Amino acid sequence: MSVAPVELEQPDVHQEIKPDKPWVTIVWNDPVNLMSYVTYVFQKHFGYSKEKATKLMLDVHHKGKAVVSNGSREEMERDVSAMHGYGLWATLQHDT
Amino acid sequence: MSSRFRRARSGAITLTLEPVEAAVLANLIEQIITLLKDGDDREHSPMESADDPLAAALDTGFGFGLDDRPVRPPEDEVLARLLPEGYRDDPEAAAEFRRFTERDLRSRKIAAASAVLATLGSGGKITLDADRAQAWLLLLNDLRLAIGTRLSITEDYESVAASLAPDDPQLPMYELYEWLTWLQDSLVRALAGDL
Repeated sequence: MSVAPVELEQPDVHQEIKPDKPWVTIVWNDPVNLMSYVTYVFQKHFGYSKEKATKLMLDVHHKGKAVVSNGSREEMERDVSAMHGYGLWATLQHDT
Repeated sequence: MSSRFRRARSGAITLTLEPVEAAVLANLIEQIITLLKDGDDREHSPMESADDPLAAALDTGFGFGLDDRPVRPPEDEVLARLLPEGYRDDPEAAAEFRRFTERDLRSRKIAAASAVLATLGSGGKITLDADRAQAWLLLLNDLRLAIGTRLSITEDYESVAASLAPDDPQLPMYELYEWLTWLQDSLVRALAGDL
């Protein structure tokens, strides 16, 4: 699973203060992680069905990344930490 | 090397290793534990543990205490992959995230590696409960991340390895990687029955 770099929009620092937009956890493709393992992790950590976990894994594999969860910043930091624990590369950001 | 994880009818996960396989794994695990314990390549707080009993009490031995400035990613490429950034394109948020999570992530990985080392023995049949099986899964993945990073591995590593000369110094690492990949995949398949 190889990395496909994606340009991310920079937040506009001159915006008025807005309520916290939802955050998302993104899992990025990498050449080491096994498709079987990534699917397993998505099922185990998020409780997704095998079908959903497989679909997300294939998105990571083919598109370079996939949004695997959404919620508050704190929740996403927990998910990202969990993904790092499994050896997946994940980051969090504002939902766009 | 055709050792693989199997799921017994009882649900237990078993693995039978040759003595040389166990020795190779033990060596790799010791190396990765050493790497994960290394924290000396980053800046230290001016408030060193020698002067401050509280900082000393909180010091994890990784080289930084409670009062450290936000940390940069590790310089070692393998460590950087094992302890990746939590934010992309936001170095400040990434540093804060690392400051609060890296220590724990290192500990979790060291714990998994240590648990595997404790079950390894010198070859023969190993029977794993659910927790031990998880430790093996995480550890095998970390070993593959480490070797894969050192090799700058790509998805077509098998054809790359096939094209190497028999005396190429990278060939043993590719063979190791291939074996660990086979092992990890067999463990995932053995565990997948639970989901």
